[in-house]
Amino acid sequence: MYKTLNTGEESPARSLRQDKWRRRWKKICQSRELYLFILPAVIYFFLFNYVPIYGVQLAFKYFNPAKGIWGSDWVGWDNFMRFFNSYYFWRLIRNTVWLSLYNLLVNFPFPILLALVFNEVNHEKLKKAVQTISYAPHFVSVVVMVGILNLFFNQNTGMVNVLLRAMGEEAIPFLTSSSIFPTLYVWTGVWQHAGWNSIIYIAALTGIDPQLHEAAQIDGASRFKRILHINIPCIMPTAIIMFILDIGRVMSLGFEKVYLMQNSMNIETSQVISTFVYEAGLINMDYGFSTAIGLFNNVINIILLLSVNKVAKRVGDTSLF
Amino acid sequence: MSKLRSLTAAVAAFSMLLASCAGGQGAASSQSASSGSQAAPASSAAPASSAAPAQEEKAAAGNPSKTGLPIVEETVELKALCDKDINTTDWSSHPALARMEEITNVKITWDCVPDAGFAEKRNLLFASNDLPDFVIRAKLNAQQEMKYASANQLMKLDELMDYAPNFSELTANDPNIMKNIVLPDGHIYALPQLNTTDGNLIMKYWINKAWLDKLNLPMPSTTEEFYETLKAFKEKDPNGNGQADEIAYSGSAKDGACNLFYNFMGAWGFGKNAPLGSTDFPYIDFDENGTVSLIPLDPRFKDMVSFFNRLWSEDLIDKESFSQDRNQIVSKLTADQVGFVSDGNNTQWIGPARSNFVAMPALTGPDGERKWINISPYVQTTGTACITTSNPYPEVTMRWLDYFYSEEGTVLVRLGIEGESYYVDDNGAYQLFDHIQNDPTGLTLDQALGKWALFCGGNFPQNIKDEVDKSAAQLPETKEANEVVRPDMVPYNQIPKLKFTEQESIQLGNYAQDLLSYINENTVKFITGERSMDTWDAFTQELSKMNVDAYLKIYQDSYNRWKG
Amino acid sequence: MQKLHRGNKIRASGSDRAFAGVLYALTILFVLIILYPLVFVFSASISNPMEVFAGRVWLFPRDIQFEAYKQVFRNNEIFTGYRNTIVYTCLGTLVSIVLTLSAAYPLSRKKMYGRNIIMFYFTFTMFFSGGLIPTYLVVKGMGLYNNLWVMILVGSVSVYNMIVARTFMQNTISDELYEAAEIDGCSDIPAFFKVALPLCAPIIAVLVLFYAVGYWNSYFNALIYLSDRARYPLQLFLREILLINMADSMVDSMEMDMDISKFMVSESLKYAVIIVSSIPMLILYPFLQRFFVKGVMIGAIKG
Repeated sequence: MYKTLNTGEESPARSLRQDKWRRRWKKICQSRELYLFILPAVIYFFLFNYVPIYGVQLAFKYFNPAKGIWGSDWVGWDNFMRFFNSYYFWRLIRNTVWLSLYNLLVNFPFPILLALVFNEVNHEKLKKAVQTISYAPHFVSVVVMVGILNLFFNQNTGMVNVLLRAMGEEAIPFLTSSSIFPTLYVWTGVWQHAGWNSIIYIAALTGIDPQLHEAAQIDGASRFKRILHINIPCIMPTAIIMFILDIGRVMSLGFEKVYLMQNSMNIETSQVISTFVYEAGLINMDYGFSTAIGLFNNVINIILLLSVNKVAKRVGDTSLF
Repeated sequence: MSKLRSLTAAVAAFSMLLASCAGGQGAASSQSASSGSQAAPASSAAPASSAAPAQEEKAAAGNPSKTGLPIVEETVELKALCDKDINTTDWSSHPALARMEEITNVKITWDCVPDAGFAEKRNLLFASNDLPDFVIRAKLNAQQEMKYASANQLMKLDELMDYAPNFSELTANDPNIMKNIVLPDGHIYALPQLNTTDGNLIMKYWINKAWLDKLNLPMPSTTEEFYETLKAFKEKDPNGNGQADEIAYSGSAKDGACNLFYNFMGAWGFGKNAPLGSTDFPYIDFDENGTVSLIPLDPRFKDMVSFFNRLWSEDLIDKESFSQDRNQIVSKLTADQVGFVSDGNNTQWIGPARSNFVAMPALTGPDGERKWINISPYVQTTGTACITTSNPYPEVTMRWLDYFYSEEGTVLVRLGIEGESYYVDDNGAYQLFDHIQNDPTGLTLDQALGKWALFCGGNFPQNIKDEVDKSAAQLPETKEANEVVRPDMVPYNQIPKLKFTEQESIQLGNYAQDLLSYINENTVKFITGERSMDTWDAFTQELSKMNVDAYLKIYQDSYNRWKG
Repeated sequence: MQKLHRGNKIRASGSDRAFAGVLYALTILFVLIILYPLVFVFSASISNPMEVFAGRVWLFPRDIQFEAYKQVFRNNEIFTGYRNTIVYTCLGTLVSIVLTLSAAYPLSRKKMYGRNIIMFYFTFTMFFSGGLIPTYLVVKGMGLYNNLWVMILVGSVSVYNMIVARTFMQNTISDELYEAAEIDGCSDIPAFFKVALPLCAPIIAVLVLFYAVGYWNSYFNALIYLSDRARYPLQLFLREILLINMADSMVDSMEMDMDISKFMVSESLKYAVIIVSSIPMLILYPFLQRFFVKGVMIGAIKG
């Protein structure tokens, strides 16, 4: 700072700019070891994530495999127009947004709640057992997960419907109802991942200085109040980062589980952009069209991510970058 | 053995002589081929004037004899992609393919992809233009075939017909084969699976005869009688357990709504001139003059959907029909809870309860229409094998593939290896060994035979005839069932396998998915009552906005080409 | 920690105790909900398949038999898959962690100039990609097709995990620690090994689990990049067994006498395969948990 003031007397504007560059250079020099350290990761991402981005041009082309990506013929915005004019355009958008939002609204807070609850279990052995069990479903792959799901919610033989019938209720067609599909998708997600996703919050909670709690106890704060005023604020930064990341992915639901749960009866709500892209690309070989939809999706993701990041920066003083 | 070989060589030499008279391309290849089979030592001893000996050698190795075995004198190596059925063992170590290598002298390195990920893998290899030499059990549909052909990735097989003696003979005897495999540009890019066994080609639906007898009901012959029968199944406790657990009609329409009603479409007059099959595009129809129309826009389709809506609302159709797979139906069938199923060409899949089930004849619809439309033509599957343009030895490959169309070839595919999995009995008929039929380790027949044969899952360039078939198609009860629907059956040669030009394929790709899924989804909704039949007009209006005209024109053009 | 517990007991008021009761009840309920389906799958895998299909198996196995497991272990490919998956999981996890830390550490240092730009460089890839075909072509161009390394390198770093690691480092390792190290003549790279790494044990434990599970369950890369069956991971064989349904094999079948019991065994085979394939990860966790929990504790006290 003082340097700027000193040299400022001679030729203010120019040396100011020079100085800015010098300081910048100095900072870069200071971080050179860190740059060296990060180099492998940067190279890795360049090779595997940035080089393939040249393929985005397919969105404006009709792909001919013999001519390759560069040599295929340009078709302008045709692929996009076809998508926007498609009968399914609005439905895809609606389903994707709704399913992700629903998913976010449930799957984001649930692990936090779970972590807060688990954290209150003082019996060490029980705590350990509870955690271990709650992580278990996470290790099951999607294929297996959907298999178990089909088994349990089967209309005739599924446990859930057998129970319902025993209670004198009508059996519910869980697997084939478009109105139930989002709920089934989201809450089985909770079953599978809430325990596991709570790890990060549990780790954050164990990092809390015990003195904070002791001091609060001396002040006569009840257990509930201590959770509210100590535990929750302490995990807030972690939670906000997680939230930003989740929002950025609102439009890119993983396709696998949706795809495996899809059938002709629930397609009204289960057809989302990612399954559509998969079908158009890998199954129907409509590569240009598929890339165009993917690109459209990417752009929306980026916009969402940047806006949430900005909001978080302003409101919570935490941000990704 | 040596006698056989010398005989083969003589036949080969003779055919070379004939071919060299034909001139042109054939002459060039036959020259080097004859040096391959007959004068191999001479050519290798004296390269003579050849400036590039390596090339000479390759030509000698790559040019096969046109008939007889081995295909080449010097071993030729090829890379191939195949779809592996769950019941077949790995092709790299499969005895049937080892036998092929032995008799043809063609060594193949297999990229053997499990069926569950085959389509993705195949599409990626073609998309990245990283082609194997050929693909077998390729499962190409008409659009894929055209797409790869127009990208110049597939070899024109019609130009290799000289090297397909068995297949050529078949096509010469039945002009219908060519008609169903040739693409609009006049060329052939993929080989078909041929089948002449009725039992495999005629699909049927099955009714619980034991229940009919128990309730003293006649075999239904009209759609209205069918409805009454289902109602009786539902209400009169035919399984006699005192509970109302009967499911009148259990369907497996998971993969497409039309599987529930495709077998009934003939009763409403659809498909009687040229049915397109339930998998291609079931909603296209042609009238007597060959004019195309979209079935859902026809008022009779509304009538048919209302009929099924009535069955559904009266709980006569299994509520899981659109989500269950066959395993679940089998368990219901085994528990004697099902009165009617509409699936399969024989009753084997039904399991232990199959003896209760018999084929039901084609029904007469409300307007007096009656036709059985769910059959496959003799060209049962197209697109089962193709040769790519990166193949250095297309003639050799063609000979190799063509072998399967011979009787020995099809026997190898279907029954495996003589002395290991089958034998020829005193009457000259092929018989499977008992240890294959009743595997001591508890394998099913398909699993046991899959260790020796390649047929599992079909989609193979082969020629299936009754003599070489050991499947349930040969059972007396299957043959009996065929006769039940035969009087109303559409003739085999009226069923088209439609092909599309490149431009048509692109357009179809653009419209087909929207249209097909719109119809499928809404039909399901109408049947299940999720959408009221009162809104039918809104449905057809919306439908007619969806490029229907362009769509129909493609089918019309394609059908006109097919009719010739 | 111990002290805190005692404090709780002494001071617990009536309402606190009620509150704790509610929390315990919730915990137990949640555990039961999690546990039931898993127990069921296990019971079903050792029950008579007919009982399972008839819906008579509720919680405990009925008519116990191990036919399905016998079939699973008779299958050589499952062992091949097992071996491959273990190799991919071990090597892959190692590579992933090295790369993740290589990015997370500098990004956690406030002194690094252009941190945000580099952060964006990574995060961008989470939301924007070139798509499948171009990636496929690039990977192939690098000579990774049908290569062991394709299973290890493609998609091995998750930006999400990188951010988790960065946040952890930022929050647990104070600037003062680095400054002290610098005064001792320890520049940035040695500081990672001397200051950061020892404190990173908990986050490394977390990363090991995150990545190991990912590798264990992944099959898509194998599906498109591997062509040699001897290199297939377990999940691909699993997919073959679980996703094939009877309808597919009905296309062309020689079956003359469909024996329902054989078919049923193949159904219960699915349960057995689920168990056999998931067990290693399920037992790996409690084993790792010791280090994991210990790591978290150390991190908590020192931080």
